[in-house]
Amino acid sequence: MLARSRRLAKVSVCAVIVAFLQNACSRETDNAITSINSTSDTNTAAEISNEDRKDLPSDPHIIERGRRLFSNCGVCHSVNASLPSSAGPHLQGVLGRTVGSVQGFPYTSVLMQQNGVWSVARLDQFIKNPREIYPGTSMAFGGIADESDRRAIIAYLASLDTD
Amino acid sequence: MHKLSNRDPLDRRLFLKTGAATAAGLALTSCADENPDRNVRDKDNGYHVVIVGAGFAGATAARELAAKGWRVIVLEARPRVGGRVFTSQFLGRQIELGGSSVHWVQPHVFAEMQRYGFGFAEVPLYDLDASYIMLGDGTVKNIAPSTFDEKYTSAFNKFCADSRSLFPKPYDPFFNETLHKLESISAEEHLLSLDLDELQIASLRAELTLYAGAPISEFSYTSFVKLFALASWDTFTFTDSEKHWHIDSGGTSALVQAILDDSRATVRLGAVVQEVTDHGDSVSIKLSDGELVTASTAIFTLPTKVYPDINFKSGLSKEKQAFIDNAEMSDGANIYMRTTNNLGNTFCFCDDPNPFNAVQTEEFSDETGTILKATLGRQSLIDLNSFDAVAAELRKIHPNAELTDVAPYNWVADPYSKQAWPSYRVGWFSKYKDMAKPEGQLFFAGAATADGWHEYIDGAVESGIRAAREAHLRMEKSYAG
Repeated sequence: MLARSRRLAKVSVCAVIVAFLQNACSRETDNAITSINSTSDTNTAAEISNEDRKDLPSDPHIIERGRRLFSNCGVCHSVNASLPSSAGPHLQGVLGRTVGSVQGFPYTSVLMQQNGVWSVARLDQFIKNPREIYPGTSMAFGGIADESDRRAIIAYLASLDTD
Repeated sequence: MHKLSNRDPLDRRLFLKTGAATAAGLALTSCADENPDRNVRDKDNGYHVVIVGAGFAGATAARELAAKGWRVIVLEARPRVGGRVFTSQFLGRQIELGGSSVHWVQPHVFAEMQRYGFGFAEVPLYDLDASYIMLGDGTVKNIAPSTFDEKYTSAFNKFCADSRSLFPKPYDPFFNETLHKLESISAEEHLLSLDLDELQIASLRAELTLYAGAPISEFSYTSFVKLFALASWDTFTFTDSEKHWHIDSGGTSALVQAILDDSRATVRLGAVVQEVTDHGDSVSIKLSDGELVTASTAIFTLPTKVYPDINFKSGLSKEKQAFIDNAEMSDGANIYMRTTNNLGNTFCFCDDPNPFNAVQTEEFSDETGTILKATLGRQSLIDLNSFDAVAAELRKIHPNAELTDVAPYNWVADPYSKQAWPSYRVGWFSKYKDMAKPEGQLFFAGAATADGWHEYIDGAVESGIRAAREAHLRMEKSYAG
């Protein structure tokens, strides 16, 4: 948000006033989202990541199932930051990452304005129904209804961080 | 949390205002610097044209207008270009998740392929090892490929038998005025009026459901026959044009990118248009983050079902609004699947209401197993994101299929399409010109507005050329004055 203001300030001092007004508007959205996952927002990224990892399945069969199921997501998302990601931000290290924070990715303003961290619970909610947690996200995905499928995918993503 | 802005490089080139700044009379401008080696008309240092949508229609319009020296910005809500075409990767191979098939009988897209040096990639449609027809109740019939071909071709010829007299000039579809009298006939009504057997009805209804994206009792019969007329009134050519050839070397997305690169327009991704105001001599477009982009004219290339998400401050004509509210249906999606076992070169038509209307082998070998692509006219009949549901559906056709990977793209779940390919509801085919008609400084493109291949990539390119011509003539007149 501050970076947004700085950018506008470069253009014109007048724009700072506008940015303030925009901040005031977007804060309402932030608050609505924060109320969904208020616990996550009070922790640091590292704490969330470590705490969450303990509860994730470590069974290699489940992680393998998650890898297979990830082909649902892989048409848009790469799991390697150094490889092209065709229509979504790369997901390497997504657990514990700030929402909407991959540099260079053209997020819509909804995700740009978020300050939360991708915890297991938040990822699970997002994969279950993207537009329920973040109305206005550009993610073109209806959601995965099966809870065990979602956990397998998240376990797979988490496993990449420890490889 | 502090975040780095990822938009600075593009924003520097934007002619920006903000909503509040406009109210205060404060215009924030910067010098656009695209088209450095062209005869840019630097009359007022702002954008001449803002194009909404970076699919084939938008990219083509951008290229055409930039070539005339107009300064162009393209706004795209998605994080990628291409619109309803999307080339991606599945297990290391190029796949087309949206509009995919192209052909030399589709003049506009073929010309773009020629212009930018793209060739054709073949899909193994012919010399089938096995072919199947799934009846409406889920019963699967294993039909010898030669019988399958004979039955389907005969049924298709009967369905389109009047195409020459109905569409003597396919690009002027209502040249034969008797067509208006046929507006109320659905594809289902026409299908059932023909002398066809159970397998012919099932296979043809599967094909028509794909195009309809809905039960074919809602689908305009004549709008489909127009597409057949465009394929030289010939069944083999039609099938060859719709299921046999893709674009090589990066596919459809690479071709859109090549057109956009050639345009040198400013392309802004993640730019969600919220509100449009036509001031008479300019258009301002408010984005979801509050920024305003202003230009002399605007071209909208959106899928029809997306228009209600944008607030057109001056409203749209009641005819256009009626088309937006009623004319289109498509509930479609695509899915790629890989099985470990080699199923061979197969094709299956599945009659409505089975969710996979066509299942086609794209690749097969003992090493790879089988890569299959299913096209769905009605994605809402299945949860495409459920691996188990997809596996169960595939096993109805191939009981021994060992499914390992799936890659769906649900165009209805995409907030910036909300539908798959265009398709006209019964009674609405003749109204497509209402959607194409300019309103004030606003111009309209998109495959649904095409005279020709309206359900295809080709129609999108055609519409981009037409809308660019209209905007160019308007601006020429306006700037001369």
